Parts: sequence; structure tokens; C-alpha cells
Amino acid sequence: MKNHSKSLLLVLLMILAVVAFTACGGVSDPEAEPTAEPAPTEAPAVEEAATEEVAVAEEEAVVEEAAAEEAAVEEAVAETAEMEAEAVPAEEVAAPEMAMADALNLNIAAGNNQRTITYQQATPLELPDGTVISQGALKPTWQYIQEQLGIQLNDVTIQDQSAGEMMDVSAATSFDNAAIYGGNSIAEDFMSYGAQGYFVRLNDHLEHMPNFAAYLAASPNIAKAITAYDGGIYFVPYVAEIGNYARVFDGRETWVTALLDSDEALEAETHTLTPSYEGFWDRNATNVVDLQNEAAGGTLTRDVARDTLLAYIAETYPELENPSDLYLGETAVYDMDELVALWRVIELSPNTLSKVTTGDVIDGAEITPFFVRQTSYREDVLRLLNYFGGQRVHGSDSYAARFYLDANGELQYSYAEDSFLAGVDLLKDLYEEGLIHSEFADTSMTDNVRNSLYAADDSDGQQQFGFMTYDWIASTTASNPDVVGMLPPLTTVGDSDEFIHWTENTRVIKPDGWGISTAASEEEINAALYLLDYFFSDAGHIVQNYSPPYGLLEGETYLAPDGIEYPKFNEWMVDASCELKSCDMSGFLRDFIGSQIPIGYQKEIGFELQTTINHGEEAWALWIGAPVKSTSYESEDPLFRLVPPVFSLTEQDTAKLGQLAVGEEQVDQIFLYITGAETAVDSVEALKALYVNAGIDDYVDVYRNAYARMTE
Amino acid sequence: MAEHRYEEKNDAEQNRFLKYTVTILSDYRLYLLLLPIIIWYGLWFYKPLAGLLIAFKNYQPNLGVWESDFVGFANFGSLVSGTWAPQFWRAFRNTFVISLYGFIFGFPIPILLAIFFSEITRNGLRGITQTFSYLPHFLSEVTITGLVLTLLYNGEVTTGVIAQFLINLGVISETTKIMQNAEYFRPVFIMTGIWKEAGYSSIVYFAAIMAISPVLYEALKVDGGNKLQEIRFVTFPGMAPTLIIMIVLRIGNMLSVGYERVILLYNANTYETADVLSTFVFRIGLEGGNQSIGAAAGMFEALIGFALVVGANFISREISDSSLW
Amino acid sequence: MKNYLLKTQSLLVYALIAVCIALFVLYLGFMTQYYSLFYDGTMETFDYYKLLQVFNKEAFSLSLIFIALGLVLLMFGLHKYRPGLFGLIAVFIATVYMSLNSITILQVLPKYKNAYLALDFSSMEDYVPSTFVFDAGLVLQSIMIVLSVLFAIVAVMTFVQRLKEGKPLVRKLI
Repeated sequence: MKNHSKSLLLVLLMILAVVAFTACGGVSDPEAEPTAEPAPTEAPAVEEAATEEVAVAEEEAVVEEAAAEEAAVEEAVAETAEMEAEAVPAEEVAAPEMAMADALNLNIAAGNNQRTITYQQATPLELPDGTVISQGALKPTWQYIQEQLGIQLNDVTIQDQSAGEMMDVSAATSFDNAAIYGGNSIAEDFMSYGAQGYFVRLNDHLEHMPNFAAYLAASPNIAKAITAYDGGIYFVPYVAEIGNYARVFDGRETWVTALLDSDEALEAETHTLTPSYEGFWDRNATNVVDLQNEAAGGTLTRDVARDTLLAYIAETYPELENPSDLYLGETAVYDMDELVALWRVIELSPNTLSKVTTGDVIDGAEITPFFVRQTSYREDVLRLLNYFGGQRVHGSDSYAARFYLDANGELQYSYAEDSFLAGVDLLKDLYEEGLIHSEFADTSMTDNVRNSLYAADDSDGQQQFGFMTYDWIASTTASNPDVVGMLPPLTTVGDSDEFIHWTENTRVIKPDGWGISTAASEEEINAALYLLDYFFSDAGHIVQNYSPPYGLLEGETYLAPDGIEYPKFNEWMVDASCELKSCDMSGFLRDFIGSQIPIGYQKEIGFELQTTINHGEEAWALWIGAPVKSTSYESEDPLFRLVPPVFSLTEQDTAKLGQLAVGEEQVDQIFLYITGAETAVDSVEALKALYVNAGIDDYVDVYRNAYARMTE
Repeated sequence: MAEHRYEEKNDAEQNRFLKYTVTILSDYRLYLLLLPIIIWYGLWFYKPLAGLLIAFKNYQPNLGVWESDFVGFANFGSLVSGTWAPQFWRAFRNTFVISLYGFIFGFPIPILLAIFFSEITRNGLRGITQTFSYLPHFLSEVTITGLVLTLLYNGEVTTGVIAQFLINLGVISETTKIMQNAEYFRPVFIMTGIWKEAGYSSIVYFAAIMAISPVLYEALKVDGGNKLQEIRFVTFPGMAPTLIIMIVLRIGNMLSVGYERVILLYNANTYETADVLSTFVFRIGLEGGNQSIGAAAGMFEALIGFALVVGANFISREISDSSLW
Repeated sequence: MKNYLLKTQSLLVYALIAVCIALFVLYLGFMTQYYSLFYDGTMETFDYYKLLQVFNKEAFSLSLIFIALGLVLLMFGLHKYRPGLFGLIAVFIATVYMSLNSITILQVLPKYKNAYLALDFSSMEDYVPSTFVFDAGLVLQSIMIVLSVLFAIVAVMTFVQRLKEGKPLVRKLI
């Protein structure tokens, strides 16, 4: 009986199972179930440029398009300006009249717990008013903002998580654990998830963001660069100090003068090199590299290299007072070949230069004519290609920004271009001659080379000295008092025959920023809009760029070389930054104070200028005075125009890119080729083939279409 | 009649399904104890298997595994014959080669060590020797690889001790950078592995040797056998079951080359010989954000690993009496 | 005397499970030829791709349930023994579910196939249209129906055979 009842129970279970299975339902009919189909987000890329004729027509219509674009931008500016006029005056941050949440959750990741909005230092920080900030509390800037806006800010960030990972994880829960998401290098995510409805379309709320609206109205190019393909703006970007120079060429002044202007400092040298590089330019009657190569007869010595260079300078530039004037100061008119000739002399003068630097000849001294700060900056060597006929390398200030606009306004992927790869051959020659730091591309070496080649001259046993680099002004000139800014080599750019000083690298809109989740409540969204806008008000701008008022001198300003006055740090800030962060003000602001974290704001150059020492200010003045031509978002010549920091990709674009293998692999191979690694391919044609096999043509098409959508 | 009894017996057995249910109900206390382990396995080993589905999908984090669109075998196609093929096959080749080298050179060393240990008659000395050989195992992979990189480093500013030693011996030139040279990667990798794990791995063989009855050794001595014959005719046959099991396990794990060590030791210069499937998955799937391609490559590796272990077990069962199942 | 009926039943169980696995693999790889319709095609091919996803997801879910039902058949030992009452119920659940859903798939698959053939692939370079998976689906689902029906009939026969031998309707548990 007992067994029987158990059997009946099981029968019941079986019947239940049948019901469950059949409830799973049948298979959909394509005609019967049209509603089950997810709505496509965007027409496939192919349709947009369906035929070659269309592409050609588009090319021809570039000029008209540009005009139309301008008209559209003007219209947008007018509209926004109108809106701004109607909106609250964009001054101080009176709380708008809308229902606002009194607390906000923020998820701002940077892949580094020091760079979040929470104070993570083991040493507490005592503010001038005696308040002590301890580990786990909001950083002072954010506490100040909290008080100013009357909104409690809760940091829900997983402190060490990278921003990209944070976005992936948050996407899995539809961005519902915070009202605001932010971080570095996630602009593409904002655009893509924003277009799918996960982020608030800020264009629709500009009336609640009067300061940001005014900013966009004044900077239509920025507005355009952050607009997704569907016309929405889904994040507020971190905009660097656009319009200012970024990296410049720096070199040791006394080395050039000691070697070229007199024989007094010269020591006997035994070092030799075998010339590989054969010269690029023919703008003068003779080419100095040719002359050196001929004179070398296979092996170049310091004396031959130097004598040839001096003779060449005397003949070609008789107007120069000193031979070093060819390279230094505002008289500099050297091109890449002339620079290589100088590098050779420097490379061949270890005894002389070690004595010039330290007062004694150092046995076994090694001189590096050109280096980059660390191996993760290896692409800075590729930037030298800018000076071999103006080859563009990066379209924006990011090593990954390999798209640029050619003279016709069409996107090109620089690294896969034949002209770029031909230039790579030249860099290979320079590397072979020992003119570029031997370990510049060895990513397993993580030392700061600038420290060891510039900043360690007085260290015991120091044998390594570097001459020239391409790096940020303030920190580079600060590393050695002999280091001065140098004008870039002369080159032609595009079809023009004019030789100019130019730099491709400049300050840009960063792919960093923050956006508001649509999963937040209306009150939270309102409060978030208020917060985001605050950073574009005067008060918020100063707090985020410098510090809360207690870190600044009241009523006193810093007068920059360009004549503009900026807020000035007080003694407490300067002392605290030296005590806690070795006088690295930028690091102190980010890690201790909480300002300058990469969320949406406009960064100002005043901070950097007032912390510049040694020959730093002269470098600024030299470049501004020349002036060195630079790229910008406004340039009418596409070749000098910056591309957006990211491209707004559709679902299909992302899917197609997922099937293509264009990426770091080929870049690694380029560096292996330059450094002559045994496993490297044997020619630039083979490098090109790597790109072709990885699907570069389709890759470029995807981005061209994306760019076309963004600029429509 | 015999047929009928057979049928009866089978009929009785046919109730296994119900019988198990009843057994579970009656012994529920025991099964309750088993439950945490089942849940553990379910959550950490079986539930993630569903995630393999992303290898067949265009995975989008916001849609999740199930809701993301199917792409069929397109990701596998890209890997095997598409744009990813050169990198994938390079990783595939390296995985096999490194595993094979690891097997050929790494497998016998712990056995030899165990035999040597067993031959040390003074317990104190043996203890010290064994402890020293186990030590590297307890250091983290990061520490070990850090040491290796430092010792072998040959750069502009400093030169590691071993690198300098090799330069002085004339084995490498002054400009040779061992860790940036693809041809040195595999030997360094294998030797690092042996240094770190050989001592610890010898424990299981040592235990097997200890379990061999001393009587057998004595019998061999009586028969006039020497030391080598002892090892040949007593020690090896005595530890054979353990050896077989370890070989099968090792072959199963053959493709799972310790990716932490590779990641810590390799660099772009050595991808040619160092990039294995797991590092490829890491680079493409996690760092590159192409999870679907990464999952496809990972699944490829897992399937081959599965085939290898089944194959090894089959061969082992056929040629000897020992097998895992 | 050999029990041919039981032998047939056993073979049918294995055949059904094989078809289930084949269907699982088929639906796993169903979109292989059609992924490029999504990112390389036109608006029409994009729409079709999204529509086909609906089918693929449901068919794949079904193939998982088919496999689960196949395992239930194994758990009831139907690959070795004649069914008792519960076994017979399991047989009915499995075969009815399999054949009904197969019939639905057989009804809709041709429509998807025709919709595919009606697409214009001229804008897609190097694209070779293929209807292999549709055809394979049609064949496998048809085989599943045939096997299900046969299996149900054979299971009833072995069940009756068993009862005729005087075996109890419901087996003893222990």
C-alpha cells in the first residue's frame, strides 16, 4: 500500500511535467509572429554607401557637405544660444526648480583605486580648516561639491575595476546600480548603449543644464564629436586643454652647443657606427646624410660626422650665427635629415657628452640620441613620421586613434598605408644605427626611461644619457635643467611644397566622461543633470580644475605667458603636494584632493603652466612664437583636422568588427620589424599583408561609414 | 526457461529510477550532507557551462548569454580559416609544442627526484632536501616569474646574474636579450616549470615508492640484483599504476598550459613561440573585449583536451590494467 | 528466442537520441551562413536575420528539451527493457512532444526558407546563398516524427507483451 501511494505521487509529478513541457510553446511562424522580431537599431552599413558611384559622389560633394555642415552647426549654435537665453543665466549654481533626489549613486571607475572619487590613501589628509579626510571618505573636492549642491554623493564604484569592465558588468544589469556612470575610454560605450536607450539623451534636457548648453553652443565641434549616430548626446566628455600644445620636442641645449659651436669641449672618441639611413629630403643643394655616408666609407666616426655636418651647415645656412642655431631656439630650421646628422654626432660622442654632463669622462657611457619616456609610449617613435613628408600617424591624441582625415576629408587608417609603412623602413634604419633607444619597444621593460636618461645625471655609476625626446613640456623640462624645448623639424605636409614647423599631436576631446542611466528615477535624473552641469559653471570649473577654495589664493591669480590669468594655488596646496606626492601637483589633485578626475569637464591649462619650471615656460613661448602649426577640430584643411575621439558604431558595425582581427597584433609586428627581431616579418610588404589578412579593408569601411553618419 | 528468468531479473532492475528515488527519500540525511557539494559543483562547474553558448553568439553584455543573437559557427570559422586564423593557429601550435616539451622534459623529472629521494637513507638529510625542492611550489607564480625575469634580464642599465653568467660563458652574446628572444622562451618556460613544480610533484611518486613492500627489494637482493635492477624490476613496476594515472591526468591537462606563467613571461617579441590558446583567449576575449571569439577559442581548447584525456584513458586501459574509469 | 520487439525498441531509443543531438548541433550552427546578412547586407537581410533569430532561439530551446526527453527515456531504461506503466507514460510524453513540435517546425521552416530565397544578395560581395540548414532541419524533423511514431507503437506493443506475460502493471519498487 505504501509503495502504491508513492507510485501515484510519481504519476502526478509526471503529469505536472507534461503540462510544463507543453507550456514551453511551439515554434514561431515568420508570418504569424512579426511582433516577436526585435526592432533593428540602424540600417546596415552597406546600404548607406551601397554603390561605388555613391561613394564617388560623396567624395565630390565633400566641399558642399562641409558648407552644409557649417550651416547646420551654425543653426545648432543659434538654437542652443536661444535656449540658453531662455534658460537660467549660466552663473552660479542656484538649484533649479525641479524635483530632485537628495542622494545619488555614482559609479566612476578608472582601473586604479587611487583615481576614484573616494579617498584611498593610508595617510589621512588634514585640510587647512582642520578637517581630516581618512581612507574610505569622499575626496575633499567631492565633499565640497556635495555641500554646494545639497546632494549626497555615494560612491558605489568597485574601486579597482577598469571603466570598460565596469560598463560591461553594469550593462548586464541594465545600469541599475547607480544614477551616474563614468570613467576613462568609455565614450564608445556611452554612444552605443545610449542609442539603445540605456543612457539619458542629454539633448532633451539641456534646459536643465544651462552651463553645459552654453558650452556646447560655444563649441559646436565638440557637440558634433560626442553626438551618436542617432543624433543623441549621451555623455558629457572630459575635454583636455584644447587649443594648447601637448607634447613638444625637448633636447639638451649644452650638448648641441658643445658639439657644434666650438672645439673646446671635444674629447677623443673611439665609438663608430655603420650608416643605414640614406636620407629623405632634397630641399637643399646637398643632403647632409648623403654627405656623411659618403665621407664615412662604411664606418662613421665622430670627427667625420661632425666635420661633415659643420661644413654642410656653413655652406647651406651661412646666415646662422652659430651652427647650433640650426637646431636651437627660434632660428631652428632643421629638417629630419639634418636632425639625424646631429643625432649621429651625438651618438658618436659619449666621452665628450658625459664630460659635458657630469664634469668627467665616463668610461662606457652610452648616449641615446632619441628616446620615449617608457615602452608603453613606443608609438611616439612612429610620430617621427610626421616629419618625413607630413605623414599623418594619429588622428587624435591617443595611440589607438589610427584614423585620420586625408586631404580629401576621407578617413584613412594610417598604420596600414603604404606611405606609412615606407616610413617605417626609415625608422628601422635609424634604429639600426643606434639613434633610437634600444629598448623603446620592449613592452616587458617598464622602467621610466626619461628618469634614467634625463633625471639621473648625478647618480653614482650613471652611464646612460639621453639627448632628445618628444614629451609633455612641464614634466620633461622639470626633469633636467639643461633640457629645452626645440621646434619640430621642418617638413612639407600634404601636397604643399611649403616647409613648416608642425605638430600633429595636440590636446583633444578625451574618450572619457560620464552619463546618466535611464534606469534612475526622474528625481535622480534631475539631480544628476544638476551635478553634471555644475562642472561647467564657473565655480564647478575652478573646483574641478584646481581645488576647492581652501586650496587657492584668494584674490590672487597666476599670469600665464599667454597673458591670461588663472586661479593660483596657495602655499598649503604646494606644500602638501610636495610632502605627499613629491611635488607632483597633478597626481596630488587626482589622488588626494579629487579634482581633475576624468569625468565630464573642460580642463584648463592654468594648472599646468603655473607648475612649469626650468626652461618650461621658454618652451611654451618658443612654440607659440614660431608658431608651430597644429591640428584642431576647426581646421578647414582636413589634413590638419582632428577626428572625433571615438566613432559612434551601430550594432552591425560592432558585429562586423568582431569578425576582423585588426588590432594590436599588427602594431606589435611593426615594432618587431623596426627593432629587427628574429621573428619579425622581412619587409613592409609583409606588414601590409598582415593588415590585409586581418581584414583592414572592411575595417576601414566600417569606420568611414560611421564617420559619415556622424558628420551627416 | 533461462530466458524467462533473465527477463524477470531485468524487469526487477527496470525499476532503478523509482528505486533510486525511494532510496534517496529514505536516506535523505546522507544526501542532505552531499547537497552542499552538489550545489558547489552545480554553481561553479555546471552552470558556467551554459556560458559556452556565447561562442555561438554575438555576445552583448546588456542582452546576456541567452538573449544575444546566434551566429552559428561563424566565430569558429573566423578562428580556423578567417581573419583570426594566423593568430589562432600560432597559439594552437604553441600550446601543443609547449605542452609536449613540458610533458617530455617535465614529466620524468619528478619521478627521478622521487627515486633519488627514496635512495637517501638518512631521514634528516632527506627531509631537508625534499623541503628545499618543494619550496618554489609555495611561492606565487608572480614571484617566480619576477625572479626569472630579473635573473635573465639583459638590458641597457642592468644585467641579471644568470644572463651575465651565460654571457661570460659565451653561451649568449652581450646583446642577446633572453626574454625578448622567441627562441629562448620555451626552454625558459619549461625550466621555470620544472624548478617550481618538480619537487612538489615528486611527492605522489615518492608515496608510491614508499608503498612498495621492502620484501620485494630483499628478494631481489637475495637473487643478486644490483641497484639499477632494483629500480628497473621493483621500483618502476611498483609505481606503475600511479604513473599511468598521472600520465592520463597530465595528458588531459596537456592543453591547459599554465597561462599565468606565460602571461607573466611573454611579450610581443616572443608571441611567436609563447602565445598559447589560453593567453590568446585572455588577450582577445578579456583585454580585447571580443568575448565570443575568446569563448570559441577556449571551447576549442577544452574539446581537444577532452578528446585527449578520453584517448589517453582508452589507450591506457587497452595496454595496461590501469585507467581513470 | 530473441525478443525482436525489445531490440527494435532499443534501436529506436538510440536513433531518437541521435536525432536529438543532431538537431542540437544543427540549431547551434544554424546561423553560420546567415550572420553576414546582419552586418554586411541590406535592411531586408538585416530584418530577415532578426526574424531568423526568433526561430533559431526557439528551435534551439526545443532541441534542448528533446535531449532532456531522450535522457528521460534512458533513465526509464527503455533502451534495455520493456516499459511498465510509468515508462509508457514517459514514452507518450516524449513522442507526443517531439512529433508535435516537429510538425510545427516542418510547417514554418519552408516559409523561412522561401523568405531567404526571396532576398536580394547582390549587394553582398562573395556571398554564396545556402539553404543547407533548412533542408537538414526538414529532413531531421521528419525523421524525428517517423521515429517518434514508430517508437510509440513499438513501446505499446512491448508493454502489452509484458502484460500478457502476467507482469504487474506497476512494478515493485524495491
